[in-house]
Amino acid sequence: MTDFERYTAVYSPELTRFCMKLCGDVHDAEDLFQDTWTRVFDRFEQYDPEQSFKSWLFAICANIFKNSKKQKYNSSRAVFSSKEEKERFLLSIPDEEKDLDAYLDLYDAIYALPKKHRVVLVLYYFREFSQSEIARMLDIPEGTVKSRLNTAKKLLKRRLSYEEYQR
Amino acid sequence: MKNISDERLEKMLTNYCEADCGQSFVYDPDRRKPKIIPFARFRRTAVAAASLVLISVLSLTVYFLFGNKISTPIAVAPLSQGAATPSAPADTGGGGTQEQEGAAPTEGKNFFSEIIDWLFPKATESSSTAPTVTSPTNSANVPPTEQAGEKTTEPAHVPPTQPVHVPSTEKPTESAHVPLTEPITPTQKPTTAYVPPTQPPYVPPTEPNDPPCNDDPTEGEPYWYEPTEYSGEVEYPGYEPPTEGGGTMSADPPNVCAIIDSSLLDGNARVYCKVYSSSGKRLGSANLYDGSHSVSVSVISSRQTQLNYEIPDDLITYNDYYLFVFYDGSGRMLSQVQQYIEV
Repeated sequence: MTDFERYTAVYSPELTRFCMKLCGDVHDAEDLFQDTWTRVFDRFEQYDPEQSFKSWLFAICANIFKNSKKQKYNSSRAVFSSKEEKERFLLSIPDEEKDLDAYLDLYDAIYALPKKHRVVLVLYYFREFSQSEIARMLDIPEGTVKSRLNTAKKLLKRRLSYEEYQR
Repeated sequence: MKNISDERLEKMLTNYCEADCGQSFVYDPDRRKPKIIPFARFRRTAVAAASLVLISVLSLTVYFLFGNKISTPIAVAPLSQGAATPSAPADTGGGGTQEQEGAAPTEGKNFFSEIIDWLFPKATESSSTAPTVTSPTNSANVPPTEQAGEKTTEPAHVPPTQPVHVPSTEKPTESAHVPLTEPITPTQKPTTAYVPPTQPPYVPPTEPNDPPCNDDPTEGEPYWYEPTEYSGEVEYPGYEPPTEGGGTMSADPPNVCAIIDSSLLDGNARVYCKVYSSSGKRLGSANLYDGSHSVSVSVISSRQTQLNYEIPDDLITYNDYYLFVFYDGSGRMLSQVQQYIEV
């Protein structure tokens, strides 16, 4: 087994979750997943083993998603492709959370965000990356990361408050 | 509207990102999407085929636009062309048609004709010489297209031996038939006077045609040939050497004859003659009635009278055309004759 095959075996589940959080649709997420590994394979010689492979991998995936065209990897309107997918999402919510409709609203609100705000939001709440790491991964200033993160949360709060008021 | 707190949003986002989607993709190397370059493999072939199609379309366009015009003979000239009027009377000298043929041969060319001339010069020439126009005038000598006055820019099609096609700037008159070597004076008028031929007899040359070559050309002489002096000893049959003053005057003195109507004389038996040179200068004495201007009158018939003027020897000194004007005794002009006199 080569190094590349070993990396794909280790990081594919986590990359799958990350792609699903970015795209929301399973087909768009799989396309992003395949394109990410293809890019990694092509530039595998550029990888520095002294650095974290996970950061390098997610940076490639985030930049592919952010720099793509508006409709690419973003074809769905954040609706579950199947009933099983919706139930799987709801089952992953902790049991203490009783308001599941709020999570469904959050699901829709995240995919209504612009790509650049969505990428920063998902990377930050993935619990793995700090703002400085996100800034380094996306090659943007850290203040920009903070600004985009605040903007994304403001948009989500406005959307969730409106949806809760409608209920 | 109830606002959501930051803590609530933070917790929801954390739970959302930690939520497991329950599936994991597998990387498939065969799903690599190669870059799609249109006509990558067949680019050269496609370019060559497109060029061929373009050339074919252009060729067909040129053929359908200009091909019919080339093959179709031009039969009718535009009305604006005055040259295409073969209404001149037949065989009136041809001078008029020459003027019309030579005048502005490219007036009738339009834009397409110029393009055709530029693209297919030989084809245009062949089409322009097609015998499509028939004209009753000079049809034996003039090509039909020249009569139409179209497409002919060079007189090269005209046979050079026919005097009809000699380019001339003069207006078409009857004098066009006069040979150019014969001088014409403006005072010449048509007359009924009879002028007998006054050709002098043949005089053999007094010098040999081929003088002997100078054998010593190094003596600074400007000419290679040196004419030899005539010894006078050579005799030719019928030749008489001049006795005084040289010249070869004929034996008979030059006379000028004119035939007039007998009624013009009215019994006046005396007729006089004035002689003018070609430059208009009067020759002889100013007195009309002296003996040098007398004219002998002889009645030919009841209607015609012949006037015969014997030119005095010292009156004319060089060969030229001279005008002889006859007057009666009362000074009325009876007739005039222009004649070439050799002394």
